[in-house]
Amino acid sequence: MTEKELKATAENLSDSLFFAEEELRNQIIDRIEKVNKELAQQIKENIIFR
Amino acid sequence: MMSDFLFMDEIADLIKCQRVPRLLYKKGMCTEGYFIPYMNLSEYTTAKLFTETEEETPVVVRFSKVFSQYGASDTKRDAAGFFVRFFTKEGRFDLLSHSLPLPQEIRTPQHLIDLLSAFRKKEESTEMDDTALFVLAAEQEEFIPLLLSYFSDRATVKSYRGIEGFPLNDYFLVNQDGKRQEASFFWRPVQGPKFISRQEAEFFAGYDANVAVRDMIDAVYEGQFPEYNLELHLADNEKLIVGKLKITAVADSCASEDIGYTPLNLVPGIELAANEFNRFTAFAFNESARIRGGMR
Repeated sequence: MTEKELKATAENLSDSLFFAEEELRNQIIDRIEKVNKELAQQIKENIIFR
Repeated sequence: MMSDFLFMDEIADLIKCQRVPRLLYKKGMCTEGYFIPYMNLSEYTTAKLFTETEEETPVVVRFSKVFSQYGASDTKRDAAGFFVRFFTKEGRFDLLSHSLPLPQEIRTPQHLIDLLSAFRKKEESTEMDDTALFVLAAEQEEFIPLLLSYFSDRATVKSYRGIEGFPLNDYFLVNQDGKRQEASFFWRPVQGPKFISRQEAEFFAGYDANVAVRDMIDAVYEGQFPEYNLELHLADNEKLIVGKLKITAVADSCASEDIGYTPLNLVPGIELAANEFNRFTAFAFNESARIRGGMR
């Protein structure tokens, strides 16, 4: 995944995850963290700063 | 009026387009064109469509959205189906691809059933669109690669001319000595892959829901015929660009509803690889085509 792709995927996922229930959102972020830490970090930051 | 046989024919034409709705690949369009090989692949297969380099093989290509409903926007986040039927001298050969790769982790019948069930539930509920996929990925980590791919910009397109085709099935190529070689086929758009951002997708969903269909029709009528290279991947990681698909016409919407693709449409020299996933997809597509009115 290139930097640009990672940024776009993080933004798309955070926009959708923002509306998910908190427990489900955290589960998904934990799962993503296992395969891509940078992506999970970006999603967390995006959701915090929304 | 009811004794006017031309009028009755018109009614019959409208009725015969009514089919059992598809489970997947509902919104789509059919196009026509041809495939021409760049090289003679007789070293690997006896299939004439890959060995007769001067011969153009007619094709019917159906582009579709995989999970979206009839009437959905073409830019809705979803994979696209890219199904090609080759009308070869030896019979029909159907090559089924998606614009997003199906991750290895979920290439099992049970995972596919779980995925279909999740999207079916989504259709029936008022939950946010993506919740079903989130629940699935939270329950089974095998779905995380699919989730990442589904939320990439690759899942939002405004033109079928820029999509790639990742294979649903893998094959064995068989040459005249009976030597079998594992192979899979990828479509690569000659103009390069093109995607759009979520913001652009949202704009087109409101502005022109049929943007991808319209784009294909415009391109064909303006003579800018879409082209895709066929890339053959062999077991030893060898990659060959073996031929080109060119779309030259748009078929009517009735043809798009009628056609039923199945991985079981094979020609001599190409076999479906013997694995559970292939057997499952072959059964599912074949059954779907049969129920919907035969493998036209």
